[in-house]
Amino acid sequence: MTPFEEQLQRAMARREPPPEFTSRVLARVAQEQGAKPHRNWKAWLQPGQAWRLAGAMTVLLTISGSVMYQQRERMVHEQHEQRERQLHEQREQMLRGEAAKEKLLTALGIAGVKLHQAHRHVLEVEAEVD
Amino acid sequence: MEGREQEAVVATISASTAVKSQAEALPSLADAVNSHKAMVYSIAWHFLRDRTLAEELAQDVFLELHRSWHSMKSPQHILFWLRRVASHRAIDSVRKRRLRPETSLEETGEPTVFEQMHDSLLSSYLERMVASLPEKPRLAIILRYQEGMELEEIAEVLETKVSTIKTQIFRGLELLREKTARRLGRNV
Repeated sequence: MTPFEEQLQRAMARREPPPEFTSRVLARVAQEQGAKPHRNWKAWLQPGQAWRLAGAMTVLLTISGSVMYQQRERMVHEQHEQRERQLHEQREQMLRGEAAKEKLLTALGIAGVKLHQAHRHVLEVEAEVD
Repeated sequence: MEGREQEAVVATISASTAVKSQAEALPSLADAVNSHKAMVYSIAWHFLRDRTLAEELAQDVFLELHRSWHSMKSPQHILFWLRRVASHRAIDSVRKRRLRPETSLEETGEPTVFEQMHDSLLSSYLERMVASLPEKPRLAIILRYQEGMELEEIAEVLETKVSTIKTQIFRGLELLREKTARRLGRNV
């Protein structure tokens, strides 16, 4: 150490705080303890408190797991209902289509018969005229 | 709170901390305060150069020690913890209050011929100059020359690299040497 550093070391010597310092600190500690019991979050990490931490974590996980499960169930149920509705609509459309086809074929059949009758009637009239 | 009630609570605190102290060879809180108050107060004083602020900061540090008492493992751990917390709180205090050193290096008065011969006045002059250093070199110089700590220990307390501390102390000393040499008119 150089002479300058030695001089610096002497200059930086420790100083005593005011005489009542310790009692003032202890009074503040007492005041804090009297006001309300202090609970430091780190106390939860102490070995003696491990079971409490484990209990709290279990409750937390159970609640969050239950909420997540319910949400998932609701979502699956909604998706299932939506699929059912779509299938039902498709079936309805097919039935309506089949019915329309039937009606169309019937109508075509009737129209064919009527046409045939009209044609025959025309031929008969022409034969009478000749 | 009444005086007697307060004393009773203080006695309870001492007793409760002493019970744990016996088991793990820790001092009681009161003993820890008595043993380390000069160290904590001096770090605060050399950093802030304000008696009221230094005492307030030192009290806050010991109050925090009480809150963290359950995590103290040994007397060495208490010492290390106090140095670390006092250092960090000193920097926080300056930043929070936006305190500037009362005097900068350039503004620090010239020592007279009498001061050059008088060791205590030169010490006082050096103290003022240390207090005017930038925050980090100031804290490194305080821990090095007030506490006599090794560079590795300072780095651990301030949670930084040894090379950084080395640079900060070198820079701080250079500033102090340069200024003192200029004032005294000779190399130091």
